[in-house]
Amino acid sequence: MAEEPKNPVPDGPANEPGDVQPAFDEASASLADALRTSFSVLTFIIVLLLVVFLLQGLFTVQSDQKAIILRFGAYEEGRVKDQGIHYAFPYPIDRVVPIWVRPRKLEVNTFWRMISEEAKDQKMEKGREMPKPVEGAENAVMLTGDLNMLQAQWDVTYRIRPQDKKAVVDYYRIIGEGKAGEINEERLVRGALQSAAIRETASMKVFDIYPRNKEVLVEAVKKSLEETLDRLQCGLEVERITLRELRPPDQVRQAFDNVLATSQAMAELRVTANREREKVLIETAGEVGIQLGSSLEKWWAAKDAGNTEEMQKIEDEMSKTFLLAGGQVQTILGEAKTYKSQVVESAKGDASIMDSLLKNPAQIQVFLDHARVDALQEVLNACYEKYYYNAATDKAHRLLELWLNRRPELIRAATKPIESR
Amino acid sequence: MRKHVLTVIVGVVVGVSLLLYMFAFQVRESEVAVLLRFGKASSDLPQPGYHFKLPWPIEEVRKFDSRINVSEGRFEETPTRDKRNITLSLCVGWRVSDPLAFNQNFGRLAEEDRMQQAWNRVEGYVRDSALAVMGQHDLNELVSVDRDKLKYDAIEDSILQASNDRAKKTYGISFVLLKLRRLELPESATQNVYKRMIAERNLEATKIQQEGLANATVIRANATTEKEKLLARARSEAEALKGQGDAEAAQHFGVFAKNPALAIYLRKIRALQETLKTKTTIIVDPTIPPFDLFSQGFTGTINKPSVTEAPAVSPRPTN
Repeated sequence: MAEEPKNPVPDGPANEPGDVQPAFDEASASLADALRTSFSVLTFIIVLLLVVFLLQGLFTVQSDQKAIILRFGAYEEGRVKDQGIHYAFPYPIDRVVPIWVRPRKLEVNTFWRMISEEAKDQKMEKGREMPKPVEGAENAVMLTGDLNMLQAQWDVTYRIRPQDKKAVVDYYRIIGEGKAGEINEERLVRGALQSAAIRETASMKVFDIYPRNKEVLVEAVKKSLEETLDRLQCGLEVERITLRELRPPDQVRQAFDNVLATSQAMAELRVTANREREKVLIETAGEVGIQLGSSLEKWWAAKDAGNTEEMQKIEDEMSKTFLLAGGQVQTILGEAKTYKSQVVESAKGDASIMDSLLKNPAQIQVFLDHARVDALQEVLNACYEKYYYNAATDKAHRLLELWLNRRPELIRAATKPIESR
Repeated sequence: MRKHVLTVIVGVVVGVSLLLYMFAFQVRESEVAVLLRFGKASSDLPQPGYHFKLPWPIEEVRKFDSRINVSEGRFEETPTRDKRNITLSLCVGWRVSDPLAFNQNFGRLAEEDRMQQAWNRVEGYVRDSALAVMGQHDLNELVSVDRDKLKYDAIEDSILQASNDRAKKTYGISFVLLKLRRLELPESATQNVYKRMIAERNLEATKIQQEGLANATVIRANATTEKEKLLARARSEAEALKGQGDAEAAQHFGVFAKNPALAIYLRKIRALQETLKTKTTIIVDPTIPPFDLFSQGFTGTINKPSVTEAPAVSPRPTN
């Protein structure tokens, strides 16, 4: 089979121009169509790319974000965007830098032992693996103003100042974005906190802040840290500082614990003594005893101060309170009142009897005899021991010997030989 | 015609992009830049924004990070002016402040090594300055309960200034933050401090114990005193009450004056009753009524008052 020519248009003088023109026209038309189509496609692609390019400028800002728009790399006033959807020209015209404004928490364990003495001992005793060191711990200490040492674990929560667009720009200029920015931010805050901690601790006595009043140190450190960040104008502010742990180094901890234990024991002793005092005062004067005791203390203080007016005032109050007293005071006053009542009533009674007797002289002797016998009866009835001895009939004038003792066993012992005789 | 317009647009876009790439550059807000012409830096520093340049190899741009770099210094031991050794470590914030000088020293280095190399060079300046400044201050300017004596700001500013003078001039680096991040005593001194701390704490414990015991004793003693005071006052008031009773009773004594002997006799009877109420041992004989009944019967006269039974001490009322 003969191969057909690839070129449909034959070469050579046999082909006349008039014969190929239609073919050229057709080819030109096809090419034009192809070009037109290609151009349309290209145009569509270009327009599409342009649209996609322009749409790339749309961006959203989250609630815990701000966004800075840089025009050709430079910041122009007011181009910090809050939460929402925004538009900026795509790179290289504009560049959007997102800045997180949510609070960040940083643990600062620099002033902490890497591994405690107890943990080391445990390891030696039980053959356990050495515990993992505390992250960030450097075995550092904070020197106090009285040259003691304390160790601490700090937490700081900080953020870019909210509602302050300048702070966002400051933050970008000083700390910036990306991994390097994060590292620098962390180092900056940690370094500033460490500095504030050693500076403030160095001005305080150990027992001014340990074991109580840690908040004094925390407040001072927070203030110092804020001053550093403000001076740096980096847009950051401190939200909260927490002192998770504060204690003396292991080497001296036992001694500190002894002081605390002694303090506690003495505080308990004081409480016990005060309770005893209250008990004594309550026994003495009832429920108002404590109040009267306090009034007495104030009275002495006023006396020491030479404040006679105050002394008189306290005296008046005590007089009123005294009327409500219970306990021994009440007993004494009660007895006095009873005495008063008795003596008055007795006088009244005697007076009444006297008056009555004097009005009836004939009955005086009988009354007196009766009264005498009644009294003797009453006395003799109440007597513990009674001995009758008729001296008138004892002609021998014998000596009467009596063994008197309040203890029955002694009496029995003493009288036994007599009984046995 | 439409075809030509589009062609022109496409051509312009592509051409402009290429030209911009070759002839323009951006400097960001967080950067500083140096423009080099045939390797020589221009003193005209481009600020943040858009700038034009000639294409490489005629002109070249080097950009450096202008943000703060925070580095931590080594833990160094140094003597203070009062010959007390201390150990310290610094936290230093620094940045490129002179791009020309910085470029001269670190411009050729790879970008990722540049900042670390720069810090390695200037760290020595900071250390030297710190040692020099610490030698001009006493320990109590760093550690003291008297806050006014502390000179942290002055010390840190001095170190910063001294470091800045050299680092800026030589390397184009400025220190913007310098803080003491650790301040301690050397290990040898620390052991002595531990001993002192233990001794002080033991003393403190003894003191607290003594004070506590003394306080408790005082509280108890005060309680006794207060009790005595209250009882004394109560007794005083009781005496006053008794006095009032006696005074009130005395108002009835008028009738006693009419026959004092009879009044005394009646009083004696009452006194006898009161005093011999309990725990009394008494010896009686027949002369005391009613024990006279042991020896005799009724000796009186019927319907007449008996005189024989009247006591010898009994005064007879006078009519």
